[in-house]
Amino acid sequence: MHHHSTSPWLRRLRPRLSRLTLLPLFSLFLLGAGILAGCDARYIELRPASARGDLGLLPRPDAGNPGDAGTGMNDASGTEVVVLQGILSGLNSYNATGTVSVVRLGDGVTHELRFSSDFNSAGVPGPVVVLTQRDVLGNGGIMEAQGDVNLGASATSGAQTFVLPPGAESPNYVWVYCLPFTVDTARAEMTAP
Amino acid sequence: MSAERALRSAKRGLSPVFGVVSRLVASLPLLALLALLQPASASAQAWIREPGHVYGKLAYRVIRAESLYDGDGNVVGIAPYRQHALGFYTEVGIVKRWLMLSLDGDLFRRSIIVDTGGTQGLGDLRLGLYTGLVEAPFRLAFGVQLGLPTGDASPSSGTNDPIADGIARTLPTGDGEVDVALRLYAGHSFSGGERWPFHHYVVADLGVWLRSQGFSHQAVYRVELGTTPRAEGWDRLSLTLRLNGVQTFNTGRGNGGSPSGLGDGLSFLSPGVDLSLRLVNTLRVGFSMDGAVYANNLPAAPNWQVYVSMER
Repeated sequence: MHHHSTSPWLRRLRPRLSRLTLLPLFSLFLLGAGILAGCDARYIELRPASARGDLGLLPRPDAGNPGDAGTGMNDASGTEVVVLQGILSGLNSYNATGTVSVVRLGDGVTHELRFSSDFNSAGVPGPVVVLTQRDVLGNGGIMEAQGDVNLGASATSGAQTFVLPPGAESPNYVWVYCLPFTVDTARAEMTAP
Repeated sequence: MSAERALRSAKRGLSPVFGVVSRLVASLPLLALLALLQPASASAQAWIREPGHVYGKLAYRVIRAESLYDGDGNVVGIAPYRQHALGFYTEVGIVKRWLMLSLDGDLFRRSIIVDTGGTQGLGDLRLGLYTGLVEAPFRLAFGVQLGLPTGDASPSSGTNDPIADGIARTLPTGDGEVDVALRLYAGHSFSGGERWPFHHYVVADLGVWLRSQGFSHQAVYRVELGTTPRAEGWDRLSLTLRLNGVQTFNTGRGNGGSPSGLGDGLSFLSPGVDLSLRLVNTLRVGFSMDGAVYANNLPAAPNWQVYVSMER
């Protein structure tokens, strides 16, 4: 048999090649495994059953174009009337600006809650709009039993409109509330204009 | 980790070249073991490892917060929040002086709003390449780190409950974007006079973190001082003091949308302390705590960590 000689540079390179190949391959394996493992996180429910799916949350109706907020006329049936209004102010070191109004539409029955176009509040996680009769909210959270009404997800700036459920037309306070972390970031005390 | 290498170098009479173990580490089983060792706060440093030499670290981190640095840097109260993470960090020398590879990330990340809900899953991974620029009189290296969005940036509850979905979205396990960090690392190890009872190293790095998906770019920086006693027996201990910083270039308040530290507009200045004990050879166990002097969009609570590390 003929013995194959190997050049010195190749002999020097060979052990290095094994490292150069194995290590990046191993890294790529880890990366690939991570990606293929499915990046979706799993949700863990920790709320008591009595608190799931309600917290006073109302289904968000189609509230129309937020840009319509503050306009005067609704439809042919009559004139809109501002029945309550308030100025938003920040809470818990958060800043907030803008106004909020409860408007009775021309049909005389339907009421909307409208945020002004200059509305701006803190960019907290999961903000919702809450109506209350009481002047505190905070860590105690939303309490239906005390008449709190959760209107659902809120923007943190710009005009937005919510259709109010029957019986919720006369809140004492309107809140922007970080639901996941139970922090109230803005509040308006509602009064007659 | 380079900290240990730097201290060993100091012990050997200030040689700028670290002693390296001569045995090859090319077996996959060993690498697999090492890959299971380390945390996310560690980063490759000024010392480029010898070819085939590896470092691995596995760490458990926990944050228990009841307040949050908001987008404006104010501390606001929140419902109790817990973040648990199992992080790893590996570093491998490829080409003498010129190339070192790192891989780190969170193998598991669990964020919980107590009595409310949470998410858990794989976090983001980061691949790093480093090259040595200067070896004396101090070490200077350049690194490129590629962040890969293997985590979940917008988790879902998997239910029809909009509140549960809102909670899930608040707690991502990844940032959802590919990013690149370019960093310069400088390091030096030294011992005082002959009577000085400690060995030391210092590391500083400065870089820019280029983000995508609408995230603002960020400046990143760090200064670290490591100390170990000379006395036999006591030389198993190592104390590290560090200052880590991230500063967003966004002058606005960021999205403020998550306490996870994964959102846009993240800034912080974080002092930290790390105490570790060498058990056998280069196997170490350690404990660390990092806080914040100021921050935006982060939990306002210390980041506690315990870890095991090993190098060959």
